[in-house]
Amino acid sequence: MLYIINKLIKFRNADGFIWTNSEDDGIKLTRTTSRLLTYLLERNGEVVLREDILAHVWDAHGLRTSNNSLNKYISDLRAIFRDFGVEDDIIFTVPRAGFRFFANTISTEINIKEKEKEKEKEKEKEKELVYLDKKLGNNIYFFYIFSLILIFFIISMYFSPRRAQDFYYLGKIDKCTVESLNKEFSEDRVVVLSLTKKILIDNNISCSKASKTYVKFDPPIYHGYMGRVFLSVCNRLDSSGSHLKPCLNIYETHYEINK
Amino acid sequence: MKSISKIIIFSLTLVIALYYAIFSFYNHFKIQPLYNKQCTAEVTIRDLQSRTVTSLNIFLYIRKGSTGYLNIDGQVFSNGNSYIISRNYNFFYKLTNDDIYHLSNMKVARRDYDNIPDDLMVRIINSKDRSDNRYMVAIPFEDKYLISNPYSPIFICEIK
Repeated sequence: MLYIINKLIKFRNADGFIWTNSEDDGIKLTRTTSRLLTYLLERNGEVVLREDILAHVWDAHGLRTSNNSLNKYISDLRAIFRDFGVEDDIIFTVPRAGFRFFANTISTEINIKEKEKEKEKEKEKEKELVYLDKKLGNNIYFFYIFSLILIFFIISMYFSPRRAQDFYYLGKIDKCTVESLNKEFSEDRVVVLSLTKKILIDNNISCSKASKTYVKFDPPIYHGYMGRVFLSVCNRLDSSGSHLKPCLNIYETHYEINK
Repeated sequence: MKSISKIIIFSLTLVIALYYAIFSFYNHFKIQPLYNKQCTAEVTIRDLQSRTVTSLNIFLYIRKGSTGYLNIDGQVFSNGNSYIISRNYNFFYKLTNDDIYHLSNMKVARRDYDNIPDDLMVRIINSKDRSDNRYMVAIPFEDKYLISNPYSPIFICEIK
């Protein structure tokens, strides 16, 4: 601890150094003198009994002394203060009791080393706080993103997309596009296209460039078994060529190739 | 680095989620069920095993809510006999997931010249279930709907 007495004298009890303007013109007190001064400074303005001083400054540190010796130490301190330019007496003798240290102002400062340590600690704390802030900030950011994602998924679930029917392009018969509800294997495509052509011819259905034929064959049909056939020709124009006719649909059960 | 990769992963997920949400929202309103649309088609149903060929004009109308209307007009040739179908069905429906319409309380109104026997009609519509509960699937594409029974597509109708 650094004591500043009457805004003039600085005393650092850690090493017993006492000085005024700069440490260069200071002196180092003995350990006992340093303890005595500290004891008095801590009780500035109070009457401190001799017994108490002897007990705390000497006895508590395993030392023995006498009243005369105490007087000598007090006298030394007075001399030091005088040397440092304190003209008024700062340590008063209280007859039959003890002493009273009286300084107008005593302010304390923590030692530079301690200060530095404290500063370092503060810096570390600040760093920790910044890190926590950053971490918390990041977490809040992720929390917001996560909430948004959740909201979007809830919207998606609530407004679940209605599926549209998918058709797979098979090829063309003349200029008419043929699409299948089944995703046909390439080897089946030829079969499906030829079957489609056969059904269109059998039913005398013309499929123009603008038209589209949608088909679905039960796969067993490709292998000579019976199955269902669905065929629909859409986008058909009437004879005037300006109006759409309804889709022409053929639905056949028990269809087989060799029928 | 960890933080950056986290941000990238989260941002990508966010973009994908946003895209999917917009896509769902857009499709939800763009691709509509078969509500209040006049669905018309010409259908030929052929079953050579029972030597039956049916040619029909179909008009299907699903009202938004719970009722629908189906009109069928056409001819049936079965085992050398010819019959006329001319009737309409009024029904209730419930739209379930995946565009499946559960039809119930089907009330048929036959016109005078509708002379097809009930047994034959049941065979034509390929229903082993003689109750009036039926399932219909109507999946949209372009400006059309693919109408199917639970087993197979039956017809595509254009929307007027």
